[in-house]
Amino acid sequence: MKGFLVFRTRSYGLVGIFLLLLCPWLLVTFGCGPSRPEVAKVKGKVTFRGAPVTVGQVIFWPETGRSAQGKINPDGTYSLTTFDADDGAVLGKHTVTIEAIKVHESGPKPTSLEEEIRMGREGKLGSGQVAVQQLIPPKYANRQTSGLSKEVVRGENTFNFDLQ
Amino acid sequence: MFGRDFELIRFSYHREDSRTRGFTLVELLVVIAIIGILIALLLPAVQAAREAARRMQCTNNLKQLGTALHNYHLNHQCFPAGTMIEYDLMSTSCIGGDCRGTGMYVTILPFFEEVSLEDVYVYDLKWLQQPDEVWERLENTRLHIYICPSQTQWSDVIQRRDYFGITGGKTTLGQGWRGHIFEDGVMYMNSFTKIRDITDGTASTLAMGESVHPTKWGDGEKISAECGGGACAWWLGGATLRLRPLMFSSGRILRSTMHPINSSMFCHADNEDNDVPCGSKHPGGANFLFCDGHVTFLDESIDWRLYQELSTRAGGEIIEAGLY
Repeated sequence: MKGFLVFRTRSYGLVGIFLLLLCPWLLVTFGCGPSRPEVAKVKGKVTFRGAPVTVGQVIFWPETGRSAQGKINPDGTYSLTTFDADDGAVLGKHTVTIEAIKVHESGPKPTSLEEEIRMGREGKLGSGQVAVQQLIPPKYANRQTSGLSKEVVRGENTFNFDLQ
Repeated sequence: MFGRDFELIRFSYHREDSRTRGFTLVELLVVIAIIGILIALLLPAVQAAREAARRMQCTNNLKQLGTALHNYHLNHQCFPAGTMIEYDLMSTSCIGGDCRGTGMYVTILPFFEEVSLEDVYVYDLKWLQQPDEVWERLENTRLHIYICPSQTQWSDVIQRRDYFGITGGKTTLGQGWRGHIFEDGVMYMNSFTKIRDITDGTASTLAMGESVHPTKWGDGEKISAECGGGACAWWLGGATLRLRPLMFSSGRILRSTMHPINSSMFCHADNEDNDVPCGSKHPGGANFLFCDGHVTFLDESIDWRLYQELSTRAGGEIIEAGLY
């Protein structure tokens, strides 16, 4: 009788510890996480007449689903994000738009709301020159006129754009 | 009879007592394990219930804002302009080249029982030129109707606002020094949209939405830093340069549907501030107010085309009910 009892309590302990370990797994597996469409990594480089484009963004517009954006780095490279950072774009055909503008502004620039209020009251804001420079033809920023399209497939995708 | 039972109990008690005193370590572990499992099962449910309640409060805020917008429409025969700015040569809205206007969040104040607060605001002076005592009052006023309880990141910013007018997002007018300009929605600079202008139908046109993404010239820490921004004060209005409406800065008052819901824009340039997306801290999407006054939670994986079509007032699209 004594031996039987010891065996029983021991197995309870083991079962308990096992269930404790099981719990996080259960939560992860059967939890109500968001159901997201499949994405694939997309990266590449944007150049204009051979030279890298240094600012701007690349947007991939799929036929259906969520669009993906990527910031163009100073060396011209980009990496797309749909849901989480650098996760890529949804699978399928995409229309691609690329925009790159540079804003030249002279004059004082506030670094806080309080400073902005103060400078605004003193009439110091909007005194400088502001110019918006298009680094690439604006047709590439329009879905109808960009003429760029790519198909994202499973795995790693590398799309380089050499704009003219 | 009673005596015999009593004897039995006493006997068994005596027997247990003689074998074990208290619990063994293993028994204790088993009990703790079981309690642990039960709590682990219960805790997510409690958290989900709390979040559901917060989401409901957020929905209610937007509904109340919808009622306010419609009451405004009854009084003024149009929806409030996203921001009112006169930017012509003779304008009194400008100091130097810098023109400021009053945002819609001030003009709708009397329609949710904040008449006294609106009386404080000096309309003639626009939002940047308010006298110091008015600033004091505005800065220290927390309007709960403008605050989504799920956004806890800026809970210390008293004057915060988490709801923004939807300016459109399908067809851009152009790109200025603060990003894209859209005027295909309901709220934009000097919009004064009437219900009859919303030919897509008020039930399928967005009026306002949530956004919890930092704005470059917002409040709080890291304002205007290379990679940062903050919450928006509720009384802020838009800004533009004199005679240059395309230099409109709307990041503090309006949102477009150009980028998807909850799109990650943690580090954006000065010239992308208008393009800050809608989004929320609710899991998987954000609440939106439509022009007919109903509020819907839009899933963040919504088709970009549908999302942009919902934001236009006269895009001519036919949107099937139940698609979103």
